[in-house]
Amino acid sequence: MNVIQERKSDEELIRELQDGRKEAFDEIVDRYTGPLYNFINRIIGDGATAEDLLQETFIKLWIKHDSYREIARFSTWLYTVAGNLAKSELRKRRIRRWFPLSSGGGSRASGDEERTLDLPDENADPQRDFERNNISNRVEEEIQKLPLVFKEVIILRDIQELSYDEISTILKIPLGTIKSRVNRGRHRLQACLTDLL
Amino acid sequence: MITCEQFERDFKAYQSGDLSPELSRRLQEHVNRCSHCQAFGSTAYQLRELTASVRELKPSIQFQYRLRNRIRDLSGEDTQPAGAGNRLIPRWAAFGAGLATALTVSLIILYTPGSEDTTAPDVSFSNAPVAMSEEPPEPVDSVETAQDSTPVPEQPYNLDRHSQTVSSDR
Repeated sequence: MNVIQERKSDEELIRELQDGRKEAFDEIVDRYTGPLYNFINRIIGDGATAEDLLQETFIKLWIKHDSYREIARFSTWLYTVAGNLAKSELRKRRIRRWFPLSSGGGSRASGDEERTLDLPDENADPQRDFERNNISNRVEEEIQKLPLVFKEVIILRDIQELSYDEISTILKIPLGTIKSRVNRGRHRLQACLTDLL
Repeated sequence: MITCEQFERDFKAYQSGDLSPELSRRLQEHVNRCSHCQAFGSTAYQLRELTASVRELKPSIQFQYRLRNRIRDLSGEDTQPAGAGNRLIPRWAAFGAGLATALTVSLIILYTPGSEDTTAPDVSFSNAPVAMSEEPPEPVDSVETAQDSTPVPEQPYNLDRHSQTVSSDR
């Protein structure tokens, strides 16, 4: 008899963590490392710093998990912490007048060679993959160029696929404003990517 | 009730006619009164396809290793989260208890009185003169010591018994 283990909800995991089950923390880390890293990295445009901020996000969760109450979704809580850390980093950079040399994403500090070590795919179409990577790089670059007010909503809505309500809660901005910024951000992107559309 | 998220999600199928008539009708009703989705429908859905297709960024392989080391440092040897039922004994308390135990055992060993010790006598004092005391010596062997009232220093064996043995052999 096959027993299919249902995936636990975020709220179940956080309750287990609050009850002292350490493994729940590991499951939360496994579940949210990718999405949060994507979010932070695309906001600040620096892979190494994004890892540090992601680590701080999970450290805050470890230290303050008892303070979480099911008023908002747990994912919203995590994204809020991560977003605040990313914005703090941007503010520090403005103060230090330091600008990253490139807008590339990915874990550059640990070496891009880890990402390029792919197993050969017999069905791969190099030409198609090259074009797809080119398009993806181009879109990423244009997203990086957006002002922060548009960049964060585009990332959360169109890349992370969070709902408008969640984005409104995370950024503490009214729902109508969120939708307006998403539209305006998309229009800006569209203007820069007309050759791809 | 159709939400903007649902409209964006189903728009492509809606455009290509892959939705049920009822769902298509509801989507149409929604877009008729939602300016946001009107804007999306007119130009933005292709753009969203592009933005949704950007590659997923991943942290380095060492990230989780570094995170767990950090958690371990925060929690001590045991990675129990704060607020859990199992509380660790602080390291300073465990060290102090061990030190106190070691000192107590040392003191017991060093200052234990030797006069009431009924174990084997200390051989190193076998040739030392014994001070005269009012207390009678400990009886080593009841037959031999009865013949000699003089206090006998503690010896590992009885010399009188040895001499009697020799004389009987002759």
